[in-house]
Amino acid sequence: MEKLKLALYWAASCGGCEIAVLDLDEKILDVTAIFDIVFWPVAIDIKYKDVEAMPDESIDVCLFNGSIRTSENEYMAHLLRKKSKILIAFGSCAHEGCIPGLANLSNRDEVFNVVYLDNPSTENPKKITPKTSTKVEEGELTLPEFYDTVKTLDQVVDVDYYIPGCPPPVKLISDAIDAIAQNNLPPKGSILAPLRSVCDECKFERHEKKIKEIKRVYEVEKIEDKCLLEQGIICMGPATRGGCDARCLDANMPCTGCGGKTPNSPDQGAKMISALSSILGVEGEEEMTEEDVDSLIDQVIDPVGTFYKYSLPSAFINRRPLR
Amino acid sequence: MGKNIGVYICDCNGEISKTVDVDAVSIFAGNQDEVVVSRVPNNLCSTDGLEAIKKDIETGKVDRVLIAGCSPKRYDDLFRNAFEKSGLNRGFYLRRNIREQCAWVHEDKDIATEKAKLLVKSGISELKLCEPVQEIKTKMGRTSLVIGGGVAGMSAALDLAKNGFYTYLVERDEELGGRAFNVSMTHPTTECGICCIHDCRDCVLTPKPEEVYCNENIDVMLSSEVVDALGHVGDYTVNIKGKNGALRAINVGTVIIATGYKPFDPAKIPEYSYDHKNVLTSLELEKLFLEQKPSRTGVRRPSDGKVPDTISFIQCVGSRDINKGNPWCSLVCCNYAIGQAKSLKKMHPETDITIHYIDIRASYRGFEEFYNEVLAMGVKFLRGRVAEVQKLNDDLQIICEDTISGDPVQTKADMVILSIGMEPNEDTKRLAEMFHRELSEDGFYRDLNLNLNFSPEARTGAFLAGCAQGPKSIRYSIADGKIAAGLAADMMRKGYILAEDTLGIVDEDLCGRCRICVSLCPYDAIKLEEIEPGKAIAKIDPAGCTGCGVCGAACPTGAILMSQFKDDLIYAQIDALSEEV
Repeated sequence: MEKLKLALYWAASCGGCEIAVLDLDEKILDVTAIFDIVFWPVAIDIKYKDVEAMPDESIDVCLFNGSIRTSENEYMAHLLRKKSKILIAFGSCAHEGCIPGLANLSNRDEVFNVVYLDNPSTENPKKITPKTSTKVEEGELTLPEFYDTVKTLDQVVDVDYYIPGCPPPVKLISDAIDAIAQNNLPPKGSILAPLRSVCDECKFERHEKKIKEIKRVYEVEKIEDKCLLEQGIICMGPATRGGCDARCLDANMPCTGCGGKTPNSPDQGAKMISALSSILGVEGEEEMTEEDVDSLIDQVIDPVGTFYKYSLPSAFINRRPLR
Repeated sequence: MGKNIGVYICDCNGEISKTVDVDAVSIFAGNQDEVVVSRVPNNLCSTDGLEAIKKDIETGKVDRVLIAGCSPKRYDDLFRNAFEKSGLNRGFYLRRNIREQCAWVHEDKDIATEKAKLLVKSGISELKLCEPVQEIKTKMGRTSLVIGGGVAGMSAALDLAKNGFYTYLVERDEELGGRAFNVSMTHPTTECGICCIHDCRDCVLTPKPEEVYCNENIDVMLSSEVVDALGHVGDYTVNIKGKNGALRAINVGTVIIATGYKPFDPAKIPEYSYDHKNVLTSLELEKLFLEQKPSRTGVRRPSDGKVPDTISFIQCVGSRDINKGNPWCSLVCCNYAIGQAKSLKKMHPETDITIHYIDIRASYRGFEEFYNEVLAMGVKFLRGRVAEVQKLNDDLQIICEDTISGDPVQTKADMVILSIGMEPNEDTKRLAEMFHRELSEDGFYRDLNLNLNFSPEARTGAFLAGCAQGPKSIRYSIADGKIAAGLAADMMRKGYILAEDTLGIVDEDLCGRCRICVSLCPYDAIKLEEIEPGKAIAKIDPAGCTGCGVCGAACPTGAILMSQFKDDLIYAQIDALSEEV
């Protein structure tokens, strides 16, 4: 049987998703047994022009990780969409925008300012920032355009499947590979992960959930053997799709939400805010003054970074207004 | 199944059509996809109007109905039942409010018409996505709990017992009877026949404690209090703390709250010198009446045992007084003071009796005549709120203005009787929370709503009787007990409730078992059900669920949906409302 053709690409991402593929360990041998890897910038030397030269839909499966924040990312998303039969948004960045997506609280100028100018470890007296085109003696140099807004892969091109996680758990990757190999994929648009939330996989005991205050992890002296939310720690587990075996919780750390929203939830952060506001200070709420309520809410440090750490670009309100 | 939507616009006898061009709205609706009928029937909520719509349903012309007219809170039951009888599932009937939310709040006809079109359009888009509602049978216990052993509670318990429903009657005091049995008489009792001496508290009309104790269907728990309650309509488990603190758990289907009232504390109005020995409340005067009853020696004033030469009644103490008391009228005090004055006058014809009143409210049958009778006996009535009761050793002096003559009045009294009003009992709030009932701003329970399908009674199985719901006379408290018993019996008779699935639904495949909903449900309607060892997912008991939506809002996975408010229905409405018409 002819091997399936596999492409892997990274757009705006940290590279963790690439490592996650290698985390397959000996399963990687199955991958190479099933697939011919035709494109994988991190591992093999194939240029964009080689991809451009491939016939349309000649790639069977493309695992695309990273969000879309430059014209290069966007170009490659369109190119790989055209060349691939199945395009999979691989990992949280491609799926919901992830950490790069938090740049939507800012814009290009502000990002450049922090990275290239107003930064204690940077010396840049000529105030040079990236330009799409620069004339030098030898001719014109170009760089991709850096966008104001970070987008998810499916905000740019049509996506067939999603594998969530930052990075995707090995089990989800390996299940996806098996499903592809056995031609056993669910309907288009499916997220290749369990339906239930992280709580379903969590080891902690759970009881009554009415909390009086919010604590950050370092403020809790000893983690008790019960649901972290009940201990006042914001755990995104309830609003986050499982499939990770609750490995953060296994290490006594709260879920921060990389699995993304759950099937019936239109907006992960909004769902968690709604859930948390339902249980926070619910006892004695009638006696509370506006100030009491404000001070309760003020206990949430960095609300966007807490509730939308991985999903800002795909949220209802997906960025700060651009002036 | 095809979607043949019928849109019926009501002009509400001009109430709507004066600001909304109903014909234009009807034409607009008729042009929408899947709308097969769009009309403005005459008198939509009348028999004729309904018949026309029913005919459209029965002939199969329409299978989904949108009524645009008054608030859905009005006639909802009427419409639902009428259309259901014609074969329309309840889920395929919707309302849009173009009266209160449109015609009545706008002046400009163009704007109001535009808005009415939008509202109708949102209704049509919702109706397209609606699903049929199924009815679910749930448990309805055939026993009842009556809280409070006063006349209202006793009357309720007796009626329930007579109808064959086993009833628990919990009373905080050591004996039944409540406040009515601490008064010496009821007014204007003239129905007792031959033995009637007009001052008998054991009127034939009042339920007797002995009857209650003897009834084999009533389990009386004295010196007992309700500690807590779990569950919901049809299936409450109530913990009752009895004598010596012993706890007892009972299971009941319905609850009747008849916890009565608390008398206003006159010490809150220091000008009335309640700390003086000869200033008594009307209830304390009752004690004097009862004490002298066997010997019939008449009333003596407390400080020195003298037969009082002058007695002044002060009305509205704590009632109709927004500064020092409560805004409401306590209803019974006028008649009560008149009755007490009559008794005193009969005991001591020489005694000068004055009733200081603001208005005499001698409502209800027989009381105006009673008032005139007492007036003719020589009891004086002086209009004007008393400013002060001054202490003069054993005697007292009343300072007020006669608001009829305009003269200032300064008059001596050997005794002063304060006609104190009624306030909600301390327990009211606690019991309200326990049995999911709401309180009004005055602190009494929110009013009875006899539209049973949507009333708080139907949702909670907790009925109210007597003064727990606001000031009432003995007669009407007893009647209340009978009404509550009747409603509760109606509910329990079948032994089950038909709940609609217009409630919260858990998608079992999505429930992450976080238990947020379980902690929050105000009706204890969410339980955990083990699907595999160690994994218990949330399950909503349709009997207890009222569709309030607390769980749906809190559910972080979206596993809980409110069947009538699913996201797609709401998005469809938002989309419709945000388009131009």
